[in-house]
Amino acid sequence: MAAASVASPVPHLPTSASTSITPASNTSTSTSTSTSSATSDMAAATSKSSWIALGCEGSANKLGIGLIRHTTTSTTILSNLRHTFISPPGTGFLPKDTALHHRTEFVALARRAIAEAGITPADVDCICFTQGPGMGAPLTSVAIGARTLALLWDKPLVGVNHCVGHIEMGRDVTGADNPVVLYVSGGNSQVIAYAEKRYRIFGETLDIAVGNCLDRFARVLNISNDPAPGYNIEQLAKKGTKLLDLPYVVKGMDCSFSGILASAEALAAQLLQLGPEGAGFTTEDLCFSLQETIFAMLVEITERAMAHVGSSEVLIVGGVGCNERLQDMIASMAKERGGSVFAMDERFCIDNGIMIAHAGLLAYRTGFRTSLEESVCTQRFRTDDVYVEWRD
Amino acid sequence: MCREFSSRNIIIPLLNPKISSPAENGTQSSPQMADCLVTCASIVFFVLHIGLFLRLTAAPVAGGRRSPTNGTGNPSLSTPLQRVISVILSGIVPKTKFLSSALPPKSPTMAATASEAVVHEFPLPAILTNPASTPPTLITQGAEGRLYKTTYLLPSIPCALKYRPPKPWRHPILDQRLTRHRILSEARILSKCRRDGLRVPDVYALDESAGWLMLEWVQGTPVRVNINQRLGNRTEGIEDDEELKDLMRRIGAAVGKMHSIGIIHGDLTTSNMMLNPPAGQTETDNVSGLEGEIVIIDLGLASGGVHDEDRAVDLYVLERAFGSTHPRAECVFGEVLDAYKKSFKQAGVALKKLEEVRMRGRKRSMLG
Amino acid sequence: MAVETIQLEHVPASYRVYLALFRNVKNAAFLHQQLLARNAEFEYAFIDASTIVSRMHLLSAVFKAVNNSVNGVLKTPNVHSETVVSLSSSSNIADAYRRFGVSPSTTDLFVVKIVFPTDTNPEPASAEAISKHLTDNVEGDAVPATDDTIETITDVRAVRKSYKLNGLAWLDGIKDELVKRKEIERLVLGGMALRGV
Repeated sequence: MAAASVASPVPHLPTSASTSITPASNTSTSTSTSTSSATSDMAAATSKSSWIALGCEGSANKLGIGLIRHTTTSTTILSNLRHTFISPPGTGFLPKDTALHHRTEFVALARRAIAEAGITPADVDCICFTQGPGMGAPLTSVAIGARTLALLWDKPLVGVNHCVGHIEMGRDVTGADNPVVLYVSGGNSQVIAYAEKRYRIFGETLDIAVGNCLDRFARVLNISNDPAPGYNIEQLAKKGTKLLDLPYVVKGMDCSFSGILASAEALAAQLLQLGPEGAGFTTEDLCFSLQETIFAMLVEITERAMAHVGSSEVLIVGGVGCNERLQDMIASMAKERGGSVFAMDERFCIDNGIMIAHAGLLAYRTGFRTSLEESVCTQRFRTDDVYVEWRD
Repeated sequence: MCREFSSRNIIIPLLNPKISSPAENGTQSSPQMADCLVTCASIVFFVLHIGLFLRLTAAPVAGGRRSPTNGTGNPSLSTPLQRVISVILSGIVPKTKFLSSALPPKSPTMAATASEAVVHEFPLPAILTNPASTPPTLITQGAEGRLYKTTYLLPSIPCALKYRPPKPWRHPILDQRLTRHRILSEARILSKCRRDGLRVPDVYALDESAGWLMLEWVQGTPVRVNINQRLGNRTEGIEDDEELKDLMRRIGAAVGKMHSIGIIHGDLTTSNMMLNPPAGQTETDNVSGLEGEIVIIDLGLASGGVHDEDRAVDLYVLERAFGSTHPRAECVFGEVLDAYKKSFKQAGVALKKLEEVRMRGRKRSMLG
Repeated sequence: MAVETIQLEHVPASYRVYLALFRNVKNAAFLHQQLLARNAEFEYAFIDASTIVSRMHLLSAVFKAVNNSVNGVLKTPNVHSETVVSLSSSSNIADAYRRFGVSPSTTDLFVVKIVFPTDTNPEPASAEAISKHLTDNVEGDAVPATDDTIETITDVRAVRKSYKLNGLAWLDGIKDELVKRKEIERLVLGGMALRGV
């Protein structure tokens, strides 16, 4: 693959590397202080009342690093930084380019997060990182960063499930106690509810994720990926008026988006070929129809899960959860059911390091650690694989 | 152990260069690096590795291969390697302007839009506003709509009125299309099931434009309730509960019968099956709470189909719903599938397919 | 009095439903002729009673017709013709009249009269008036429309044919005639509910 040739100018052997980084040995002061403080920190772990975690997220095209402090009664966000890899219109983000982006930005972002938090590495209790699900290469890159920090500062690692990160952050931010969770992003579309120590997946996509559907649709129409394709579709959809007939596929609490994507792509091709006059609809109409149809499907499966578990609270998390039309639709549904919706803004809806730090710290406080040997990533990490020790 | 990995499919082994190398460039160093990280405690050595790590990532950047980002990136990336490393290890933070979606620190005032909980009476469908001997009772507000217990024609005939109210959040055209389609489709399917001898509620009347379907009132409780009552707080001996297993077999047989006549339910859960107690049996007679005939209800998402794939997905939906609703009774779910297998000729093929669907389902938390 | 007043559930209070059953009808040809001539005096649902399996069956047709009338979506000229057509499991109107309506050879006859105030007729006919008109014009014996009586009149073979209930092995396999009849009634109701959809 082309990737190999990119790296080739620099031989990556420890011996050759050691020659080129001699200046590093000059500045070993900060690392030595952190090592000494870490040992005392470990001794005090049992009777602590305040904890700080650093979270590293990079399962898709966002690199996020954040620091959070828990006390027995409160949660404080110390810093929450994100750097997004944006591919040109008409293209998606490829694993190797995204991984490269994460590796490139990791150190600077970590440094900045620490600085903005106003703490020193010695204050950190654990290094949390996304263990999955997500794209392999970016996950692995960020995991390397997290491992390096952990070893550098002698801090324990905590591997975090990305979806659980979203859920826990959402619960904390919104105060929703036991909501049905609609988790919609570029890689995931799940309806989740907590039962007996696990986040159980009640419904999910049978094929592609909803965000993936939107992203790929945006590519066909050359809609910009900046700041996000879904955001730009949302803006276009606001001007759409005509509802086009698109497949509506809900099976139980699951739904499918591949058929609707194929139909939308076919209509988009028609539009590009004939123009709005010839096709009888505009780009805006198409965006509008796509949103109306897929969001109606999401609201439906969410409502079904709510009915099934007897809950009236909904929490929306994930990047697609930023969409205001989706939030309005869910809110209207929840209201009709005598319940309420909890939605978050882009700081927490979009992938971020804070949620990883938060969920990781919850696990850490129950005694959970991820050893270095176990700190491998998995692209397919089910939400219900996580044993939720910290909830009743 | 705090976390259990019940069935994680594919682990990306960091230490396996076959997997990590082709997809990435910089992490080609990861095999050596990780090994060293594990075995070597030397701080200097870590430093060297960070240098390597950065150097590898920095190289393509210099080659102009970095794709545009929303931020300017960080000056440290374009500086010589030495500076990069010194920046890492010194306490100095480069004063660069971050153009990513970074937030001001320490701003835990998080935007939560929790609307006020509103509990209100639902307006009745027009048909139920007409006089009747007893007022209609709202039984459930399912996702599908509302289920009322009311009467059909005469005070002595109880019935279930399934009402799909307009969903104001849905586009009106889409809403009308879905409502009509679902009322008609459910009625057609119930009628077909009935004709082919599967026990489902009778269709009494319908009005697809007004969004209601009047059905026979099935006596009994949803199987979910019976199972949960049976389970109580038990955690042991569930796998040997013969009466529970017998219920599972009746479920399997009913689902098999449904599939054999070419119907796919689309939303099989233990809430969508009623346990109709034997005629003349009162509640006190019902010793195990598990006797009776399975009546499959709520065929609102059902469709005609004889494909093994569809049957397998149907079973998969049931399996998952069962697991999430009755986690402790998962051990007896096998009985459902065993009975299903015996219920019609093609069942074995569908069950084979189920294994495939399970695998697919397990994978799909990944990117599309 | 020949007619029975029926109070159906979920029917607007302004609607009145009257029902009569005549046996040994001698002048079916005359009644049939009045329908064909669209004689306004004879605006009734005249139904061949051998096509009916139970009161519930007949009343279901009435309910459907009334509902369509209330919603203003009648598919036939009036609520009475709608009642006859509502009995059918197909959307073919002419076929429905032929199968379920009165014919010159009808001997057992159901008569349904549905009245409600309209602009032109704010005070519809009373039960007495309807009863008298029927007694004067139907040559037959008025009997109570009980399920027991209906059972003796039903032509089960014709019903099974009308509702396409032949060739159902499970139905044929039912030994208990009472259970079988109940099952037929259920299937008939389902067939009617789905007419034309």
